[in-house]
Amino acid sequence: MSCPSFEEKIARYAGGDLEPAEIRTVEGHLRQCAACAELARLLEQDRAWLGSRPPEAADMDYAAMRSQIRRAIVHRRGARRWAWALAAAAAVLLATGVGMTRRAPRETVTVAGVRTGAAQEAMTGPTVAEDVPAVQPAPARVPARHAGVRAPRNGGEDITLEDAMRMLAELEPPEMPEGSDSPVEMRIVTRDPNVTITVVQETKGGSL
Amino acid sequence: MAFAARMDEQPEQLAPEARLLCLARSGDLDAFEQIVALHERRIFALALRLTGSVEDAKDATQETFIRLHRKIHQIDSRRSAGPWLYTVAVNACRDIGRERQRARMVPVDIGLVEPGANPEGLYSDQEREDRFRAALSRLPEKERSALLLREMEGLSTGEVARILGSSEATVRSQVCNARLKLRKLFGRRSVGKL
Repeated sequence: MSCPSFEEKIARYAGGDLEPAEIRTVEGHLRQCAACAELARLLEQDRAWLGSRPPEAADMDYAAMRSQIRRAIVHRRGARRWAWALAAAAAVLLATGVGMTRRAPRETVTVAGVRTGAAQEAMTGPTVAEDVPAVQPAPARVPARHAGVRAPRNGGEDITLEDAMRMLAELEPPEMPEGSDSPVEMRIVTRDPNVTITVVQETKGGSL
Repeated sequence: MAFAARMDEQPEQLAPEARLLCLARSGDLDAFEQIVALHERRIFALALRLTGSVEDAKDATQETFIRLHRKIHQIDSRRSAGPWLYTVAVNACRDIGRERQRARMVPVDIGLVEPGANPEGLYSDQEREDRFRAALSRLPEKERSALLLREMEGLSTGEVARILGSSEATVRSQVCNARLKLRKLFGRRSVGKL
């Protein structure tokens, strides 16, 4: 049994955390008390083990882990850009209603499919003037995140993907600090004074 | 702001890690990956002992570096990203540990060694490590973090205090308590020499 009154000092001594005067006191005690000397020895041994690396750390596939980290970052970047593209597409389509023409449905994107949660409410709320194409609401059961990829073909005002991408190329997303989780709001004023479009992008837990 | 003050410097004029940080901020993923490579082993090893599980340690390590990428503009390139990473890693491990704490608790089987037997040489490195980790899992979270940062990473009491957001006196006390508790979990037995 070590001496309770010395245990704390021995623990500090083992970690090199004692002042010189205390070191002399402890070392004097350790020379006289075998139990405390044994405690000091075992504490030193524990420290040596703790100072080593766990065996699994040597076998770890760090390259694979880096690849996963990179994929997660690229995916996150892509998700942010894609969300902006979709939101911007929705805004552009509404803001530039004139000039869109009906074409035979090929690879299509609709206004209905390119909005995110908050944008949906903003887009469906106001009454759309006559010269702006009608908005086809997305089916409620389709998750917003996936609704933008492909338009339903049974209604709504479609434009070609090519046209949508051309218009998107002219839009720059707003500057967002890297890592910012704050919602970002984009407001589009259309030619119709009755229609203002507000698009809100929100990031939660690294995903959109 | 530290970053703003460094904007005028050319990357090639900076120390290697600072240069990588500078490039990573501008969107260079290869540079970011090199920063990860600089720190991954330390962070993974720390996470392994903090969480007690390889899978959780991998998750915590990945989360730590993903957070680094998000916040890379906040890192002062005059210093290593190391201290910042330790703070984030400890927090990530704490978050994961809280989620999985009950499932991961492993009792320390100190009855494996008969009294009087010489346990040295009885265990493989992995068995010793498992026993240590099981014992570490029984320490209070803050004591475990303080002990590992101090002993495993060799950080000073002041550095550990800054990483954990505590005072030096608190860290000193936590480390001391953790050393004694860990030792008491093994009784008077040696867990094996290195």
